[in-house]
Amino acid sequence: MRDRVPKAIVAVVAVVAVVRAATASGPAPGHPLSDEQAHAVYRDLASRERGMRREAAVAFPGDLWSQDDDFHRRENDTARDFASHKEVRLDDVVRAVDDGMKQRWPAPSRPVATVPPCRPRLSY
Amino acid sequence: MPAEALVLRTWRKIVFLARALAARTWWRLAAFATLAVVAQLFWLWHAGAMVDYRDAQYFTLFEDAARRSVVDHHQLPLWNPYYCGGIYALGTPSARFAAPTFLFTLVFGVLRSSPLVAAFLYFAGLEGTYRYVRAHGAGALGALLAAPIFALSGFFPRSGSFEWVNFLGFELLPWAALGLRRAFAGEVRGAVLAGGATAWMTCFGGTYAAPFTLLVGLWELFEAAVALRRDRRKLARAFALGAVAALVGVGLAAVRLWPIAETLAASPRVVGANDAIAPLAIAEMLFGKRIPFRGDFLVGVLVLPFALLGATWRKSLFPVASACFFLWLASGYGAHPSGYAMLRTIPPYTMLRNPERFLVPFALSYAVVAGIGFGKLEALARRRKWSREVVVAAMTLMCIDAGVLVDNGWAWQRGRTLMAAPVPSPPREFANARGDRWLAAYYPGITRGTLSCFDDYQVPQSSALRGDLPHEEYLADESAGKVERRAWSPNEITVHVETTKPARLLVNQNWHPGWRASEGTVVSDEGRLAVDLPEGTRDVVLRFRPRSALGGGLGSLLALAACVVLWRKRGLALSAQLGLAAAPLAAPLLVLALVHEPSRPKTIYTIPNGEPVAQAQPPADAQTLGVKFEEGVTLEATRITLDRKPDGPTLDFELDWRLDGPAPPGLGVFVHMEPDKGDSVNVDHVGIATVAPLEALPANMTLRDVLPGIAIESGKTYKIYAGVWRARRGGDRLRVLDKGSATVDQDRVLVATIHAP
Repeated sequence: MRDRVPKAIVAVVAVVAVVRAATASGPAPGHPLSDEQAHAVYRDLASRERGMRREAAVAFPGDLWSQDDDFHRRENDTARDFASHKEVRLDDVVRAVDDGMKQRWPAPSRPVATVPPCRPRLSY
Repeated sequence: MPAEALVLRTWRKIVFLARALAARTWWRLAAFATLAVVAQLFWLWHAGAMVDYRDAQYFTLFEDAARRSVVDHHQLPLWNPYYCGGIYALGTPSARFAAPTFLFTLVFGVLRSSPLVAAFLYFAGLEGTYRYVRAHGAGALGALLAAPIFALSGFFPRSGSFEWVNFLGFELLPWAALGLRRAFAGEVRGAVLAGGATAWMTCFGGTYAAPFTLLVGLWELFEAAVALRRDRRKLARAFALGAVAALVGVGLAAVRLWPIAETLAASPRVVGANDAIAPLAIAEMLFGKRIPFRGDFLVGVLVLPFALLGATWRKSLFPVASACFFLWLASGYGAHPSGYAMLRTIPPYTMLRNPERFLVPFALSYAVVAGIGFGKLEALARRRKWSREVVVAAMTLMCIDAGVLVDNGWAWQRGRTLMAAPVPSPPREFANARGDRWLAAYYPGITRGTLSCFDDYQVPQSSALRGDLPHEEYLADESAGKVERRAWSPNEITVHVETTKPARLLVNQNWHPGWRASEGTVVSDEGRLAVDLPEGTRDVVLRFRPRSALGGGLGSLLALAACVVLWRKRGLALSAQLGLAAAPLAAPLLVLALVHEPSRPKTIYTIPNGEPVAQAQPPADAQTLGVKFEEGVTLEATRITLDRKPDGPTLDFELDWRLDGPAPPGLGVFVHMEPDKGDSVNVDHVGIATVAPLEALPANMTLRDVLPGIAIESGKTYKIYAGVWRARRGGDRLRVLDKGSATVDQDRVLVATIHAP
């Protein structure tokens, strides 16, 4: 058969790529979050929300979507810090914030439940 | 034999072998496949990890939402409920799932498929560039060595490192260009190839790739028109086959084009500042600054001598001209006159930004010219025996350049910060969460949508959606009865409703005209999906069946069939070929005529208290200014209220504008708050009251530009200046023609001096 060798090379290269992609292991996701930790992270984030929103308002005066977006950036930083510090799953931290809001878990203040519609800035 | 002669002989053998390898398709493909995979080494090595970059979140979510629709719910990915409160998946410009590479996603999942898709597209880009360079008259070896200049150029690994996988669609640009070149030469298969490649790019979320292809195509058309100017019959055929390519492209991509056009018509993409890129910065992006060479659009400086040599040849005239054209565009507003500024006045280029991205088509022209230059060197070598060594050296240099490009790609891949991929939770009822767009990819896994979102157009999103509801479907008037969800999937929701009086059923998702209900009337309730129902007990089934998906999908399928016929029956008459390419477009037109879909409610732009932006006159307590600017813009009045909140003082700030006629596109308002100490604060904005640009608002009305809750610092005195500038054009300020009762300084109006207590 003509061109057997180059065809075999293509096949081998494709198989190596597929096998590697299918079996590669990324960073470990961390441990599942306990109920206690879930309440703690919700409480922590809810208590910081007002301050973070004020900082966001200073950073993006007059632009409601950008303010909200900047608040979420800060919320994201806090959630990730918590997850990496406690070695727990980020997914569970995200879920705890949602569960806390929906089930009205006790917190110093209630998080804002709405977001302004997406109105992107001219440039980033 | 002396050692030097032996080395030389070995090198010559290598050149001979390389030439033979380049000319033999399977050997060349084997080389390109290996190079494509090697270039993705680090990405493949860490496949499955999440890239810690904000855009990676929503690009991953778009693809994952489509995958979930197909795999978990056995539905077509029409509605994406996981983002912004629900968006039209096919109408999301940068989503890539409608391209054939979605098969990788279905099999391997989103994050594991990304490097495979990248390797596949690199491979396609290498072979496409090779063929395109050959089509310009370069030799096999020159084309082989030139292929990595485009296909491995810095733009691609940079895009990959941000998970901008949709930008890798640019790898199909040489195929589109090659197809057009062949079409203009009279081959119908070329037209199919060009249309197919462009449609693939469009379906792959090629918000830039497809419009850029049009420009590359115009250069090909120009070249063909010059070459065929003396042969009218061939010229007519070239134009006709160009039309076939365009029709095939539009037909194949109809499934995305119609929904995207609908989305952008309803939700403008108001982005792009006055970018100006200096020539030195462009050179740095293309060639790097120092060893190791790094660059956002790196093509390599080592092949520059070949490009310069190639540029002196007559057959390089058009590639050199197009390279210069794209360099000109890439300099943005920095060039005078600015081609980019002109282009931004023509749809769809009005919606583009980042002019440096024009360096991608430049890279293709650069590869062509370098390939031709190498060929010229080979020709010289054949004539003069002494210069054979130069060919060996040239080949070595071009191989080193490819190595530099691979190394640059690896650097981008190694530079990524990786985080753990989302871990799916046990299935539960879907609901919208307030969410966080910076973590958007983590929401579908916990069966939640994120209301907090970003895309670079004004997403049609209701501000009434909530992330803390006990149930996602409920009655507006709770006393009217009760509601229970019976089934949920992205495109179909079934709820059991018992009402004792007519009632409005609210769904905590965005409304879209494609939603239909088995009972009652679908309406938009403050942008939310809602159904007005009579009293009684019933199961209400809400289905998302947008007309554009049906019409566009049919058009695409028919175009695919037409492509098969056009490809196989090359001998058809030109009129039949044109008819065959155009026929599929009848399907969308028929669906448009026969399938009813409610039109979107007229957008009424409002200020935060719910009043319309456009009113008859300014508020009674506003201070009149009467400042007239160029372009018929007047700053009628201003109103500023100081508020002391527990967190610190804030300003409620309002500028009242009036237009004498329709405003030219691209204007923005600038507001400079200059304190007596410390840094200035800018409150520049394009949307009046942050909701709509001036050009979208009516003339001869007061346009209330209300900006509430601007945080200021206690103890400072602020001078507040405002004016109008060409924010999405050249960046210059509109001149003040009449200063009215205000103080004006450098075409900005002093609207107030405020002391923050």
